[in-house]
Amino acid sequence: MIFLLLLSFIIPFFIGFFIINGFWFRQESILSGFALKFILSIGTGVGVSSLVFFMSLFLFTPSRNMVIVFDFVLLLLSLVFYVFSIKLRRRMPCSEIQIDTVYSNTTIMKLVSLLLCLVIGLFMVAFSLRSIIKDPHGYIDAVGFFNLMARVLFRGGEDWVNFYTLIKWNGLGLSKLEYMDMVFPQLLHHSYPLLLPGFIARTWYYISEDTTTVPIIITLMFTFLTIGLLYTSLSILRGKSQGLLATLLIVGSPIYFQCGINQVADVPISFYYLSTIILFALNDRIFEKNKSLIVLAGFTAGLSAWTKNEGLMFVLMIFVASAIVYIPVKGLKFYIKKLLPFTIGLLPVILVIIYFKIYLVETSYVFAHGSGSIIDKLIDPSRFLNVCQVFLKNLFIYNTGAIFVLFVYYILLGSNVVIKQNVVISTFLIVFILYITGLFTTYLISPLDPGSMITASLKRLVTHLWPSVIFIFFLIVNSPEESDSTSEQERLVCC
Amino acid sequence: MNYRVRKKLGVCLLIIFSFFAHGYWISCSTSVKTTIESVGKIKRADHEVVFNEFEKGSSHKRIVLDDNAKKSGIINKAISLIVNSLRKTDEVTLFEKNIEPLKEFLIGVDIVGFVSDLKSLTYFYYVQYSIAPIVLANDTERDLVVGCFHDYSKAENIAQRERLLLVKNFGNGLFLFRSF
Repeated sequence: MIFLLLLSFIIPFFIGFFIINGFWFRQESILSGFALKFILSIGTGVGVSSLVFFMSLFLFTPSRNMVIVFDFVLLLLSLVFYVFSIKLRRRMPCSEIQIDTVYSNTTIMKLVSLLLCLVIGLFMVAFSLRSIIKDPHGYIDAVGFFNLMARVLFRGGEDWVNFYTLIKWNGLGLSKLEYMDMVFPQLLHHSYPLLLPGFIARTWYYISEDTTTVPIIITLMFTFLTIGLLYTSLSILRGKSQGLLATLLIVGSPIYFQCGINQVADVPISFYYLSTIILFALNDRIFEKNKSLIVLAGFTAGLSAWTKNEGLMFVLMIFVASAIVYIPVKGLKFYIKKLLPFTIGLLPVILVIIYFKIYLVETSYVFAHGSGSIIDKLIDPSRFLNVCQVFLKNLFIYNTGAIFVLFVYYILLGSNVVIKQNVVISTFLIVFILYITGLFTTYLISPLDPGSMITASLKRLVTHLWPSVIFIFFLIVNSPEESDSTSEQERLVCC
Repeated sequence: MNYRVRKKLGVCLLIIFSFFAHGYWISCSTSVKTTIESVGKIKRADHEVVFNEFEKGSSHKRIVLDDNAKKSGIINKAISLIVNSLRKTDEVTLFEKNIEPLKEFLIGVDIVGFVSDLKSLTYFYYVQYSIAPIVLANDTERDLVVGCFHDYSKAENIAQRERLLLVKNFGNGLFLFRSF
């Protein structure tokens, strides 16, 4: 069993590894930025495996052998792609990432590193204990959807689709939406995509058992991989100090760990958002003008949409924000040219999602009462004020007021980055604003009580963006070394 | 302010914030609160014992010795409380064990109804999770209906009201009904 469990994680890793390295720009050595590529490979591999497992369910009767054979075929295809891409790029010059900071190993940074090692180790133990002993099945949302759907895909065998069709065609559907009186309360999560349940079910097929160990391993993996991703990417782009401080901030976010323990998709989606932004930022920093990293960014953004419905909003916001940044300055043609590789990467995942949304699931409960009701809610000023009040209160107290800490830190260390001139930073700052506005609008038009919904779910939804916000923040703010150099310059000017 | 000072202040702010955030989170955690409350109860109960002995006229020296012994007893009890809470099987696993015999009656069934005396949907989600891939409908208009009752005595009345016939009582508030 342990061998098969290991195999079920190793194969997706190599699939991801070949895809990531196939799209990566040519470097002197395959080992440059290895940690970053390693982490991205795991996330990508999990996404691809889940997606292909879902498609294979329509083609064959699921069984252990079928799943393993399918994975090996996928592994072989990704290997062929990798070999071809290596051959294609053989004549291209090597590219390296422009790094504009240096790392000085000061006492305070040593202290931060030591603290981080201790805290991360402690959290790993606490997280595992809590997950295994206290909540092996996860939070109620995991029991009500993510782990439930994994069971449906695994236990349902070839009849798994009945679960969707029975709910979709039986009874009153979404027309009667009084939460407690709904005939199918499952409809609240019915339209959620299947990245997490798909990967869990696929792994269960490997070991022929639906044990709680698998979702625990997967959530543990995503929680600590996101931390690793933040550290490695910022270390490459802005120096080790920024990486360490960003990691300190994410490790100091209990809500983030709680979401991980809950076994819901909030942490995996944050991983894919962060991957997308990192790939955009990396593409901006390499000398070589090839767009393969943007294709990858499109793919990871697509995987975020395959993780949760909010991912679709994220994808849409990238298109809107890029339009705001590019079209007024460089025109529509440039915008299309710039986003074409992103769309190419996005397309395979989006096609699967479209099929899933059209043929399997009901529309989201948010739109259940029709356009008339939505417009009524949008133009109701008292509802707007009420929702606004609760929303802003919950937003500002997110993670014990972390936003104010970021503000004070920014004032203390300052920034040398001109946001307007940096396309990636300005685009994603707009994405964040639009995303938060999108969440607000969803609560505003929701047929359920928005007040209790905001209190119950906003902190989890903001957690989707939290690692990305930290990443962009530490791209903007000066690193401790930069501040030193600025003060040195100031001192020289004074002299 | 000097840049070096500002830099140190900034890094210290992040370190302190991390501890503060976790401290605040722990103080809000229900499991921590419950443990602290339980330890508090043990402490109060033991103090009452000491106080009773004092009233009986024991010497001061004996009271001090007894109090130290009680303190170590409190620590042991607190540790055993934490260990027991960690050993305790979680709610969903227990629920799944209870529902296991019911599954034999649902072989070949696609959809079953659900009835409960509680308004909350927690039990609904637990039953749905346990019987997956069978679909659970939150009504009594199906051939078979699963009943999940917190107050067992209400089961009969609710079954009569919903026109349901008892197929089997599985104990622990779990019933299987058939509609008329």
